[in-house]
Amino acid sequence: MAKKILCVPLDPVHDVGIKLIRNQLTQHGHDTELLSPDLPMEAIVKKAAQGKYDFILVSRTLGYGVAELLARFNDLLDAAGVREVSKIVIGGKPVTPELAAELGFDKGFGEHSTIEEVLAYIEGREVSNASIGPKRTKRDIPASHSYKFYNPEVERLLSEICDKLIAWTATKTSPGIERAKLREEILKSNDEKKRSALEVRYLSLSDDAIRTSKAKNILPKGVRNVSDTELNGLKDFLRRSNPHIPSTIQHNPDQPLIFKFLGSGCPLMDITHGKICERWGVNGFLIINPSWEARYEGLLDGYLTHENDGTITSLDNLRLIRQSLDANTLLTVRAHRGLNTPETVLLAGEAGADLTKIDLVYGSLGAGTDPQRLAVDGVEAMRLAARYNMPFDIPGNDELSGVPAWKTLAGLLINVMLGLKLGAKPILKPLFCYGPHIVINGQMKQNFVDYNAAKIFALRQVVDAPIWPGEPIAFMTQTEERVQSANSTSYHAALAATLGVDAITIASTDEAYSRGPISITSRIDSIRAVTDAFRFMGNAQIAPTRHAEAFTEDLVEQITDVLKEVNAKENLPQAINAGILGSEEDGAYPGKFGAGSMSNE
Amino acid sequence: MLEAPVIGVVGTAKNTGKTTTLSYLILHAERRGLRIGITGIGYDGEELDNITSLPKPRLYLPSNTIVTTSEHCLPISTAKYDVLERTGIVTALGEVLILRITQPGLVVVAGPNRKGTLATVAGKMKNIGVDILLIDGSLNRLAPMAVAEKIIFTTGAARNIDIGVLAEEMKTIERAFSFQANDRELPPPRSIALLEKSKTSNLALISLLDKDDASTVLENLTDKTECLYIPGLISAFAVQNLIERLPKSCPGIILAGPFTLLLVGEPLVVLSLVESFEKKKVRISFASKPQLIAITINPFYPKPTGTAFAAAFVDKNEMMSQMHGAVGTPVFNVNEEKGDTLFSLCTRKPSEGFPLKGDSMLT
Repeated sequence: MAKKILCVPLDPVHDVGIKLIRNQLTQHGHDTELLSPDLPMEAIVKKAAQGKYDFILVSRTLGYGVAELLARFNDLLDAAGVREVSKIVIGGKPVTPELAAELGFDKGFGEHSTIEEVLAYIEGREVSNASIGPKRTKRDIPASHSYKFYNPEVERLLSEICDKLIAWTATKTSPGIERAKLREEILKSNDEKKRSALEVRYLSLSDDAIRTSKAKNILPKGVRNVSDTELNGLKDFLRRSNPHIPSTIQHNPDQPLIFKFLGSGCPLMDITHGKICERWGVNGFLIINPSWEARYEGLLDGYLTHENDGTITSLDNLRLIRQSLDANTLLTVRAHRGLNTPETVLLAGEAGADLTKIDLVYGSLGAGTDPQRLAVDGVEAMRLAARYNMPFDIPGNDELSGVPAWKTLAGLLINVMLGLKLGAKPILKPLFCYGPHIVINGQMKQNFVDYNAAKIFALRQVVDAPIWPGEPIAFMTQTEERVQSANSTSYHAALAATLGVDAITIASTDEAYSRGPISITSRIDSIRAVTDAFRFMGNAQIAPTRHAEAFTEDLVEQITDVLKEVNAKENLPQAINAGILGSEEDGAYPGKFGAGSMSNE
Repeated sequence: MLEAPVIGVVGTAKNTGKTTTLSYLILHAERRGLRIGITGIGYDGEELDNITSLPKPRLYLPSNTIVTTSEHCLPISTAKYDVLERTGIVTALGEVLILRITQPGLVVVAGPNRKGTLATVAGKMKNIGVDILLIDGSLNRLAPMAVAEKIIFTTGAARNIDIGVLAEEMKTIERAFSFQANDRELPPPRSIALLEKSKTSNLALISLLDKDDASTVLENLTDKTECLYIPGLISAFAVQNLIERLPKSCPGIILAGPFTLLLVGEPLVVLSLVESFEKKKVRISFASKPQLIAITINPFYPKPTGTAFAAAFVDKNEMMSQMHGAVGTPVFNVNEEKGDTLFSLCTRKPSEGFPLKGDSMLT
């Protein structure tokens, strides 16, 4: 039903806002009148009294003595009987509901109010926010890629490497794989007795620490169960926090999805941060788990929390996070290192996660797991990822140790081919970082654009696969200064947008330097910075120099050489151990956790 | 006849001491074991000022207080309460609820924001049962306070640091309250009415705002018109224009109440209008006559310091003595007030000119 609205700019200068709103209201079919800004109050009151408006919208920015002026205006309208008929609304940058109430207005809109909220109020309906707004849909990242290879030589090399690896792993199993199988059976079984038996077997394949903890019902030091009160508090929080129409970070749909990390150690804090980031437009999250989890065979159960880095991997925790976040938010559970990777993928799938992370190379070169163990587990993990239809990203974090980019990219491509052969959907994750090798060799001396762009171009010359730079972008370029940190993220985000990548992971401004959990304000810092960068760039381009082309050619050549060397070895773990994908000189040390733990099937 | 007195605490500006005065009244009401009802037309009891961010005095309510506030104020209030009624009245902070305090604590009060809804809520609170009903003002807002029977005006350095000016202003306000209540039978306050001995003609307007409105009145005036009743708003200009053009035997003018006079503008404008009445010998009376029972003074003011504000004070003794010399109404500095004299003025039986007539405020 069309409403009759009087728009009153009490501000001689700042009337753009009310004019914009008036236009929107007219477009939505309402009968609006805009007064000129220099009328005396009595004249406005008379007009208001005669017109019998449904709403009178007053626009005024606050300043010295303005509060009293606005309060008087309400008084005059009240005394003239206008308030019996019309609702009086105040709009202005610093307006809050409390200020509106104090000045006597029926409603107030401020700097963060949206036209949708104003419309909903005028039309007497709820702001439409059933889920988080109609514009949010869940994107299937690999869907727009063909996985076609364009470089036959590289394709052949990769194929051979992977075939050999799959054959080599085919006859092997590990405690990790066995535990994953047991877990699956436990989850499927309704029989109490059977489950107990399975759990006993599970524990027999677990490390002492895990076994003791489960048997004696004592949790490891520093870990505790989330209490029922806390869980109920969370339910309350989620229910009370009315979904707000979220901002959109992307200025156009071609710009990358935005992911952030969660992993404060407490699933409730993660969820709280997640909900707030959702409101600011973040599209997805990656959960960081504690580094000690990688070192122990076996995972814990229950809603677990601890005051340490990384949120503990348990089905309960993952489910809680998944269900508390909006259904359209993407969730990645990491399974790229350690002794529990297949089980982690299984739990991720069961919990309803969307994506996982698997990397046979980095997981052993930079993250401490034995290459052979991780290869065997990783193949199984990829199979499980395929089964649960969860794409997985492959993080090129090796560069952070000092490994040259081309070796890292070669490793990424090996994982891609492996995933494809196993029926999964791999996602390339080259880093946008100022890694040690680059610092020493000067590829980014002139600018941060060319070499980062070259990585993308090189990968695209090999295969059409999704690309999701991280982890996060701008790694190693940020300082403790929040503004600098946000800026650096935003510039790299702008580059990512012009390169047309599928997604990016962004850090919070205190991520590298916080001495405890990351603060929500620092998360919002970088979100806002990226939103602005995307707005600034829009569909325009950052142009790399001609050096990027040269870098790209070199990279492709170097990648090919590395793959030849890898292929010359018996299998991938051997190649890793031989330092081909990152040597000790580079700063990469093949891991030791899980060494010798495999057995034959 | 209404039992519980309805006290309105009105400010001449923000930060003049309304909350502090209110807290004083609450304290004394509680001491006397009275059932307290409290509401407010703005937003009061908050921790920091909405504009200066300086700390504000909080409202601490005792058990069994009936308080009316908006639902979004509840999460930031610490008192425990039962919800007695959801009124269906909506403010910028949600639906207005009537609560009974079950465990004392701090409350942020944001009640109905206009005259009509305030009158409704006051009626409901009286039906629930209170011995005294306190209505908190907001900034310098006046119009809804016409619902109250007794008015305490708060003023202070936040209004003007020139004490002399403050005293003159309060003198004018006192004068605005000095006109008598009219005991004629008045028509419903829906339009301007020309009252003859046995006939009433209603005009199409309710307020007198400009020259055209004055002309309309004059066109319809006859020599039988005894009184002109203006229930709505007046502007100083329109009224002065009218009385300039009135015939010699001019009718008396009945206004809604003292707040109608105060709404014409700053005290100097009010004073000029009142003096025109005297000069032209126009008889002014009110449809309803709240009493001005006391004035409180506050030496505090927020001093701008660059982009922020700091607390500052004028000489409180000087302020008291000048104010006391200028007005006849009792003057108090609530922070210095040891006894309950101010409170007694609230519960004293009303003087002549009471109760309300014509304009029925409380349904």
